[in-house]
Amino acid sequence: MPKHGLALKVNLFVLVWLRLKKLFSLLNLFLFTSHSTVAISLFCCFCFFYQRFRNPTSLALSNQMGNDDGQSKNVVFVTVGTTCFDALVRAVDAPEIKQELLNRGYTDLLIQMGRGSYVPTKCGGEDGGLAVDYFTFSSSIAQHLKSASLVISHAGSGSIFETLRLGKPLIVIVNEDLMDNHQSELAEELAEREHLLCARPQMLHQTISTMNLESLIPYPPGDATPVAKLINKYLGFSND
Amino acid sequence: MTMGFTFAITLTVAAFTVIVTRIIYVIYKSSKPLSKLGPQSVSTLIVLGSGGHTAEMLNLVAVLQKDKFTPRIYIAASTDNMSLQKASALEASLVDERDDGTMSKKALFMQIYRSREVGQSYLTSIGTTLIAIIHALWLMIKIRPQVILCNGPGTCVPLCLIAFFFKVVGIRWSSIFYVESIARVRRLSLSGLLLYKLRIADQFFVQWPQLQRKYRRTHFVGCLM
Repeated sequence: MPKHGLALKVNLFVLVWLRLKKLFSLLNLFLFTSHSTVAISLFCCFCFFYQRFRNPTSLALSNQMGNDDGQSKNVVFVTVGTTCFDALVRAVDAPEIKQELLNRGYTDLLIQMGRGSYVPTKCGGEDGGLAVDYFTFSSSIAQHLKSASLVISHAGSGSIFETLRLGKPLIVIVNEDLMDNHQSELAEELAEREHLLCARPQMLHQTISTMNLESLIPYPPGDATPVAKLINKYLGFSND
Repeated sequence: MTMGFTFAITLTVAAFTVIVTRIIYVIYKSSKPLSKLGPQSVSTLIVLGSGGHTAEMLNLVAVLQKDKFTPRIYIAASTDNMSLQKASALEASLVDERDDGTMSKKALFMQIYRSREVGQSYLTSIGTTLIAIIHALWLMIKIRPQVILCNGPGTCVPLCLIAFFFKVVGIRWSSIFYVESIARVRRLSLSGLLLYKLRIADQFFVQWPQLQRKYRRTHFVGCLM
């Protein structure tokens, strides 16, 4: 959302308030007195704008792509989606993890850090070390996933299935700081079926040093036709 | 005086009984497949959520018979631009398939206010929830869908409640299908649980067998993704 001037904000506020007031005064017939109409609409309007201007949701897209030229690159792509997951970024930025990845033949570490505040150290990798690069958000996550040889991801279902569909080896790191941590259910279930590896941030080093990516089972693509058939049956449509 | 009072009480009780009976009848009828063969096509409301929800829903829409489920109205939260973009990409690919350009009029895209953003305080969310409900009501009056497909974003709860209200009052009979997100393996989501327990969803689909064992009225359909 672009930055509005104060006058514009007030203008917009009054406009929305008047419309709301009109709406509420329609309900007023059987619900409220006219005073509460004014009060409620003002309150709603205030809440709406307070939330909108205090917490603008549009994300500044910083689109720094990694340089895509080299042929013999072996990229580890780390993605946290739109969340804030500093524990994961900090974990992959640790020297022993980088060393372990290097030992396993990876050359590049590309981190999509989302809203996190921890900034990893950039490194060109000229001295034979792991090349590290990062960015906050990008519209070409799919491209990064495609060019990666290993993906380390947060537990969001979007990231998980996008990676699995590309057939890339995947380590899912569960964010323990999330309040309603239902996301770990999916990662644990898929790990049990050996489609991916699942770990906590502090267990990342152990997971990487003991992992055997060949043992992972490719994920069969999902099928929505059973649902469509049941819906058709319920509605009395023919299933052909 | 006492006459009027008894009369008022009788009237209230009668009205209450009628409403409860009607609700029970609606729930009973909803649990059965539509008895008569449906009309040629049904207007379909598709509620999109963020990220994973949208991908799952569009997978389902892709395999529906397009000529039966038409027109299709897509709804997403106003803060969510990606979902409608993905949906319109899907619809655009359908137009290419048909190659007669008539499909373009059969899909509508709408945005709805969210009652609560992630991290919003509870006090201000009272006001925004009110706005969201009124907006949902306004949209539902305009759309009056015959079929509702949803899979878990919070925005689907008010829409389904309003649809149920329309059913009870008799404005529009709509069939509500709920597909629980693939991310839910052991427990239903809050929206799912609400629609399941209140029996608002006519058919409830889950993607993992352990969920079906826990909630007996659901149907196990395997993974959509």
